[in-house]
Parts: sequence; C-alpha cells; structure tokens
Amino acid sequence: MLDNKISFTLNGKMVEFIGDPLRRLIDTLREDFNLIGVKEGCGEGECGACSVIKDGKLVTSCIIPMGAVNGADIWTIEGIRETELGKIIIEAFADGGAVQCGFCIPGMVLASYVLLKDKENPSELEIREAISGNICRCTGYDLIVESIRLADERRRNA
Amino acid sequence: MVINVKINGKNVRLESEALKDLRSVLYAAGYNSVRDSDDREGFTGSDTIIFNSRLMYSNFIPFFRADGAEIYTAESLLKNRKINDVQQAMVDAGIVQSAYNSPAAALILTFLLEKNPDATRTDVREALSGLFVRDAGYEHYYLAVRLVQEKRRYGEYKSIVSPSFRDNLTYVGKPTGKIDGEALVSGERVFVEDKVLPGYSVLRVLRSPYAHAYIKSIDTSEAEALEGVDTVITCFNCPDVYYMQAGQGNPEPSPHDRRLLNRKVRHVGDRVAAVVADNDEIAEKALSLIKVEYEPLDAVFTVEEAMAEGAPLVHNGIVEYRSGAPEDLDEYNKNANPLDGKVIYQFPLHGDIRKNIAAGAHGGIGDIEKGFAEADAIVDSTYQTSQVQCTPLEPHVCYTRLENGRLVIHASTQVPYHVRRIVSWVCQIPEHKIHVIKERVGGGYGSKQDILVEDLAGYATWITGKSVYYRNSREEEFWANSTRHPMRVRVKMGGKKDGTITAIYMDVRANTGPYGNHCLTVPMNASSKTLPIFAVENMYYDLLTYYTNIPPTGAYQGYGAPKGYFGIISAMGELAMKLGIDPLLMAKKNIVHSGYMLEILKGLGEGREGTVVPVGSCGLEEALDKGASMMDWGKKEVSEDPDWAIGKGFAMIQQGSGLPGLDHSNAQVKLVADGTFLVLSGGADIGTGLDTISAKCCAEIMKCPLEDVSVVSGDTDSCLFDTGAYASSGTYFSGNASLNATKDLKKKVIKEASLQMNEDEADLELEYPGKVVSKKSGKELSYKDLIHTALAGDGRGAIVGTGCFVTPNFAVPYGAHFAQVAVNKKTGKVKVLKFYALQDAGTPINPELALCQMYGAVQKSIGHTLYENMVLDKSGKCINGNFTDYGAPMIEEAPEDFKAVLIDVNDQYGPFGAKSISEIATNGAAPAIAMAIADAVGVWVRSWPITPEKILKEMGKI
Repeated sequence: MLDNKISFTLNGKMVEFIGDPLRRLIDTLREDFNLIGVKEGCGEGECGACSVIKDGKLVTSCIIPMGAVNGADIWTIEGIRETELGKIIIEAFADGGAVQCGFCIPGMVLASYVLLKDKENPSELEIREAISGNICRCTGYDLIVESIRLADERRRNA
Repeated sequence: MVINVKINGKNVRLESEALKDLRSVLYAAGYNSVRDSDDREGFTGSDTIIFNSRLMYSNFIPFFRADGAEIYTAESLLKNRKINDVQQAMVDAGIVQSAYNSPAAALILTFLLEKNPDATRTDVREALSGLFVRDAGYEHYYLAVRLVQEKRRYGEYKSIVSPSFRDNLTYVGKPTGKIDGEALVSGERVFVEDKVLPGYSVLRVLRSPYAHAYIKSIDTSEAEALEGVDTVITCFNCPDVYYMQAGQGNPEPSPHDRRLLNRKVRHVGDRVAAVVADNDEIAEKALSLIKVEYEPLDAVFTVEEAMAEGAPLVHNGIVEYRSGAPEDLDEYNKNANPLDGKVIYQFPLHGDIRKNIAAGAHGGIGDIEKGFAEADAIVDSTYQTSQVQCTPLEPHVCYTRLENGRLVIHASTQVPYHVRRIVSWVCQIPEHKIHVIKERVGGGYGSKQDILVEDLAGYATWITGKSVYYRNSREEEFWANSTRHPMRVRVKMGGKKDGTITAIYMDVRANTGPYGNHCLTVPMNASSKTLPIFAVENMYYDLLTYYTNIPPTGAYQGYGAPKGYFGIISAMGELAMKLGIDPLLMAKKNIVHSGYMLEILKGLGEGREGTVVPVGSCGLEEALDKGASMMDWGKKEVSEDPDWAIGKGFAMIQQGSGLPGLDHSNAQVKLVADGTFLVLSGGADIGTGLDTISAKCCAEIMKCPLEDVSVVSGDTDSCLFDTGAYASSGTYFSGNASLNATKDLKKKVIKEASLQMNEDEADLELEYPGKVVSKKSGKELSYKDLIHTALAGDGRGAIVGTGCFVTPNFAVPYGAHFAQVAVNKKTGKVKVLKFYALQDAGTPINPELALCQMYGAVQKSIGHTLYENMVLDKSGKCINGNFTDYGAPMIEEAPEDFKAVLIDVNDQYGPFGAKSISEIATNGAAPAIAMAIADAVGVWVRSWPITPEKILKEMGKI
C-alpha cells in the first residue's frame, strides 16, 4: 500500500502524518504524538474515553481513520487544558468531585468544552445530552453534571 | 530508510536515517543492553555487539550498513529468562558490580569461548582489550572464564571464587553472588535511561567558554521564540537560593556558594543557561541562539596562583553565617561585590574568601618542635597530586517528571535523601512533594555523591510541568563534574636511627576549584585518614583549601586519603632511605595496634571537635607481614634485561566505615503474607552489593533461605531515611540498620508466635528454613502460618521490624599494599609487575565482591598514579576530556601478578563483624609504586601522574 501524506492541525499546530490512511486516529495521537490523555475504553466508538474535538465537534478517535483527518482541526485534552475555558472546566471538575478513577475524564472535559463553548447556562437536559456519548462507571454522572454547571457559572462570572 | 536485519536469530525490520549510529537504533528498538559510555568514541565497549560474526562497536556502524546483517546482542544470551553459564560465572566471580557494560562483557566472553573453548589468560586479555571496566578490575574476569571452562569440562567449578569466613554463619562471609546480579548481567531495564517514557523534553546546558567572567547580559528572546522550546533558565530568572551540590549531612561542612545559575561563571564549562526543548536538535539550535555578553576576568588555576598577593578573587561576594558568625562580618563584607553572589557558611570553616581560602583547619598532639629536635634525620618534601575524573561508565543522568502534583526524580545517585533535601531547598518545594527513586547506578565512585544534575532537571520539570531527561555528554563529565581535588601535601618527618618516627608535620594546600563542595572534608581526609595510622607522639597538620577556576572538584573514592598517603608514606620511605633502614621496619615500629588511644582524633573532627577513641579491630600488622612474605620483601630482584630495573614498595593504609556521630541509617523488614521477607533499606546500593548485605542480614537472623528475601532500597517514598553511600558507610551503617530492623522483626515474630502457640517467648527460637520452634514442647509454626493468622480477620496485624543505626564507635579498616615495578632506565617507562593488596575488612559479608572492589580500586589508583591527569590549557579548558586522551588504565595496564587478600579480623561494632572495603583500596597504589620506583632507580617522583618524563627528569637524564 502507498503511504499517504495527511496534514492536519493538532492542538493549534500544523502537523503531518505519513502512513496508512486506515490507521486509527487514536493510535496516531497516542503513539506518534504521545498524546496519551486520549484513552481507549471500548475500541468501537461507544464509551467516549477516546473523545477528541474534530472541527468543533466531539468525535470518538478510535473509529476515525487517518484518511478522514486531512485538513481537519483536531484538539485533545493536552491542548484544551491550556485554554481559559478548559482550565475552568478542569478546576470545576476537581472542586465538584467529578473525578474518581479518572479514565473517562479527558473525554468528559472535551464533551463539556464542546457544550460550553457555544452555550451559556445550559439546562440539565442539555448537559446530560452533551455527555451522553461518554460512559462513566464510577460517579453515576450527577457530580459531573453539577461540575459542568459550576464551570458554566464560573465562566459567566469570570 | 528501512532495513531488514537478523537480530538474535529473528528477522527484524528497522527504520531510521541512513547515517544514524546503529547503537541508538538498537537501543530504541528494545535491545537496551547495547549502551553508550563514550559518545561514539570507541573506547569503553559498552556498545559491543556481534556483527556478521565479529565483535564490533555498534556506535561505529552506520545504520545503512546493517541491511542484511546478522546481529547478536547480549539479549541473545538469555534462554527462557535464564542467564547462560558465562553470565552465571560472572555473577559468581563477583565482577557484576555497577554493571553498565556487564551484558556487553558477557557477550564478548561467550563469543570468545564459542570460538576458543580453551581460551588462555592471553586470549581473555585480548578479547577484553576493548572493554573499559572501572569498578571491579579485570582479575576476576580471568577467573570467570576459568569457572566456565571448569563447569563445561567437569560439571562443576574447581577453582575457589573467594575464601569463606565464619563457619557458624550461613550466608554472611560466603560468596553467594549478588542478589541483583542476574538482572544486571542480563541487561534488564534497570538504569535511569531505561525508565524514560516517550514524550519527554530534553534539558541542555549552555556552558561558559571563560574560566572566570561576569555575565553582563543574556538575550534569550530568539531561543525562546524557537518552536519547540519550552523555557530558558538563566541567572536572571532562576531562584535566588544559595546551596551547594555535595550530598553531605545537614548542616553541611561546605559553604553555600552558588545558585542554580550565577551572575559570575567560575570555570570553563560552568552553567550559563539551560534550555528545555522538545528534542536535542531544537535544544542545540536554541543554545546557539542565546546571546551572552561576558566581562572576562583574570583567573587562577593553581594553589600557588590563588595564594599570590593580589590574586583575582574567585568569590568576592557577601559572606554570611547560619551560625557562629564572626563579630567583624559587616566590616569584612564592606568591599564585597554583589555580582559575586554570596558565600553562606553553615558554621565557621575558617575560610577567608578575600584570600581565596574556602576552608581551613589545623590541629595535632604532642610537641612537634621537640619531636624534630630528637630526630637523627629529617625529610621535608612536597608532593603534588593531579586532577582526575571518576569516569563512571554511565554518565550523570536523571529523568524528572510530575506525578499527581509531585516531582518524581529517577536518579543515578549515591545519596537519594540528600537529593530530595537539596532539590527541595533549591526549588522551594516541600520534601513530601518530592519522590527520589535511586535506579541502579552505572558507576558512582564519589561523583554521584553530588547533586550535579538533579537540581536543574528537577527545577525545569517543576516550572514547566514537562518530563525532562538530562544526560551529561562525556565531555561534560570532564568539564562540569566532580573530580579529585589537586593537592599539594608537604610532609616533614623526623626519625631516629632505630626507626622511631619522632614527629610528623603535614601542610596540606588543596585546590577546590570554583565551588566549595567538600572543600573542608576531602582535604581533611589527607590528614585524618593518615596520621591515626601512626603511633607517633608528636604530629601536627595545617590545612588550607583554595578556590580556583579549574573544573569542579568533589568526592572520589578514597576522598582525600589517597593524596595524604602518597605524601606521608613517600616521606616515610624517603626518611628510611636517609637513615639507611628498611622502610618496612620503620612502618612496623610506628604503626598503631588494637587498643592504642587515638589522641590525634581530637584535632581531626570535620569542623567540630573529634572524640578520642582506642584503635578497634586491626589487621594492619598481619597485612604487612603477609604482604612482605608474599612479595619476598628484602630480596633484590634483578632484571634479565639491563635496561630495566626492578624495585619493590609498599604502603600501609586505613580508611573509615562511615562517619560516626554524623551518619544515620534506617531500615524496615516486613514479613509478607506467604512467610517471606521484604527489606526496605534507605541505603543506596551503587553496584557494591549493599542490597545483598541487607538480604544476608535478614536471612541469617530469620533463618530462612536467601531466596526468600527481596530488597527495595534508596527509594525515598518506600524506605526510611539514610544519609547515603559515601565515606565507606554502606556496610557499617546501612548494613547495621538492616540488621537492627531484622532483630526487631525477630522479637515481634517470637512474640506473635508465643501468643499463637500458647508458649513462653523464652522457649521459642527460629529454625531453618523459616519456622518458629518450641524447645519445650517441640511444637513448630512456620512463618507462613504465623503471618497468615496474624493477617486474618481476627489477627493482631502486620509484622514489621524497624531499625535505626547511629553510633559513636569507629570500625576502621586497615591494610597494606605491596607493589613490584620495573622501570626502564632509558625511557622511564614503568610496568607494574606485581601488586598485592591485603586488607582487613572485618568479616567480609560478600567476600567475592570485596575482592573485586579491591582489584577495581587498585586499578583506578594505578590510573592516577601513572596515567590519569586532566590537562587544562591556559584558558582553563580541559583539553583531554575524552577517554582516549585521558588515558584511564585498561586490561593491558593491569598488573600481570595481581592478588587481593582479605585479612581475617572480627570487628566488635560492624554487622557480623564487618567493616568497609573499597575506599581504603585506593590509598595504597600511589605511595607503594612511588616507593618501588625509588627502590628501582633511586629517585622519588613527587607528583602525579608519575610519567616517564618525570622519572627521567629526576634521574637527571633530561
């Protein structure tokens, strides 16, 4: 097979990937770019642990082939945690008791980010919808929902 | 490019750049036994592989040449996780110590024995001619090969690996092999470099081209703008915290005279700026973009230059004292230059930085003038030692990262707890936020007693949040590391015709270089480890240590003692020659014996008053007698070749076992759930076998198989405090702590057993293999059942023994080294024909390792005696900062007849009677060889290294 050259933006920087276009985005992120905040839970796009933001939308990187990434704008937790909103969400998660084992949290933070970047004062339903693709087995979700609400408040009062 | 290659019998596809060195590619591909010690210089052989049926340095093979090749690395020696017979013999022979290139050595010897099963000593020497061994010497490599040959021929070893000691003990005093020997010789991922995870940043240091200069300005803007650069640290943005880098007890007897980076650079290679970047290429580029404006100053390099009237001052900053400040301090600081920073003494060390004096001391006993007045002859000579490098095969290296808000430091260090304290101080992080993990140490020899890289890397990680990997290049090891202090030792000695020494005076002037780490204690050792070997009534010493602009100095195995012994024993030899008597007779007439009160110690405390104690266990006279008989002392040897003259010499030596009153060790021993043991020792095994000592202490007391004990050590989270592995403290301090912890555990086991068995504690004892037995009823309880009950739902809880060791008592090792040399009268060339090292280590707990440490230490000191010397050009730059030019001795330079002998004495304070072993072994070679040269050709060479030129000069031939 021919190796293809795929260019995309990763956490704000232009990067290149040369290789198999069927390689999974998660593998490229973790192995080639060492972005190990991207976690693999199910490998079938169900659990959301591998969530990244692609062109503003939350996607599961375990079912995205590299061929679909050409020209895309990709953000992982390593990039989002440096943004103002990202920092607010992470702090609210810590303060709000949203984090237990922590494995789903990078995905949860990204899901919250996608929600909050476009929406102020979301309803509980909207929050729950925003994280509906992210499985958390520890917390029962309530404290995560509360923490997202806290992040929203803090962001509005900032 | 991609190549196909057969590695260890398997087809492998590797990808890299065509001209990349094959070693890096192999290491990165997981063949981590293939290591680099010399930055692709082709000297040390740590990178040896079998390449198309030939032994080759993989550093020298460009990647593209490996296409289609057949390669074997040391990984190929393992079969089903088991090491091969050569590796086993290496462990058994005691040569697997710091072990950085032990896997490479195993590969070489396996290859040799495959090609030539009957390999002779000459064959072994040739095979190992490209392998640099600094720790264990080469002698037992011959033994290891012999053991393999015997095992293959007869099914068992015929040669004795080492003598055994103490018939009443099972493991102590027996050559059992090191408990970590198998892991080390097989090339497991046990060193710092093996722990580095992908995604790390590199730290690189911009170093000063000037020996002495102020930094007027640094422009880092271009470097910081470079993509991939995280941060640039300079003297303008680093913490304003003064410290020093020696890993010594707190408060340290060394001035805090530096910050992470300083406004003034004080040696060529001093830190100017540090860059944290994504990779080496970016870091290199960033370094080249940093613009520094210097104001160069005149420099001083020797003690004489530093002493001179009006000499440039290396430190002319503000002096402070944390205690004991003199009254006129404000006056003293009036003309201080703030650009020089500060010099903060923890307590007075009698320094005077306005005269370049970092520290001073003096003291003695008796009446020195009266002593000289009574003498029939007096000698007064000055001996100069050189600056030498420890050259550990693994350079200074560390890997730092954040985990859960804490700073984790993977360190190659002798002093994990001092690393924690000093990094905490420099970075202003509480100590509980720092976790130091001492990995296996690929050679320390004193240089890893200092916190030379962990300070900067730790700070870089703490401020950037990045994982940081730092590794000195070999050149940086020479430029910016700790080395032996060059010292000028003047010895005046008077004696009577009957051989009685009436007075000894030592005037020690030491060169500490740019900073004052160890500035009092190393030079003090020149007197404090030499004068107490003499039962002489009148002795006095003066000591002054000077700051200069040479590369930094510090601790090196033997500390100040090898320099002191070179002076004092040479002077004794000169005095004996002058009086026309046998120097051995003179030695025997003036040495101490057990019970002799050491009044001299009063004046030899390191910055404090010392305590007077009697000489304890002492095998000194026996070592002298045995050595003399082995050497045929008194018989003049005549060479068959008239150009060569043969001579004999000796030196009697001592050291210490740690620092009583200062050192402190702790350990815990846990009885784990199946009745086996885990020892948690604060001690730092740096390849010496200290973990094995801890394991043996546990197995011996608990009467269990040695295999039932594991040891975790030098991990500041898991283990309790220990001052560290320096001053020959390992066996005596850390060993005794493990012993005390085990004794505590034994008490608790007996108590628990009495409750479980319904027996009196007094009736219970421990019995091999691992059970409690009642003398009264004959009932037995295995440790396994005992701990199972203790840890049950209704049990009384975990059983852990804790032990601490501090002491006012000294356990001093003694010894005598004998040398026979041949000197070429025409060329001045010296060959060491015979070397016999006889030492009293009390009960040698690991006798085979002890012997190898003696061989290694002697080999190192033959190095400083005859070959090694850091050469500085007139700007102060070390111009032989690589192995080839530096000239450390290899197997070819080892004496052909080389014997290490353990003198059997039992010490009353050491664990099972043990004392220290390896530092003392660096003290004898220089004076013994100097005396042998004088015996051969009649002249004394009084400076290191004793080169052919110096000999011919003394002989008046050039």
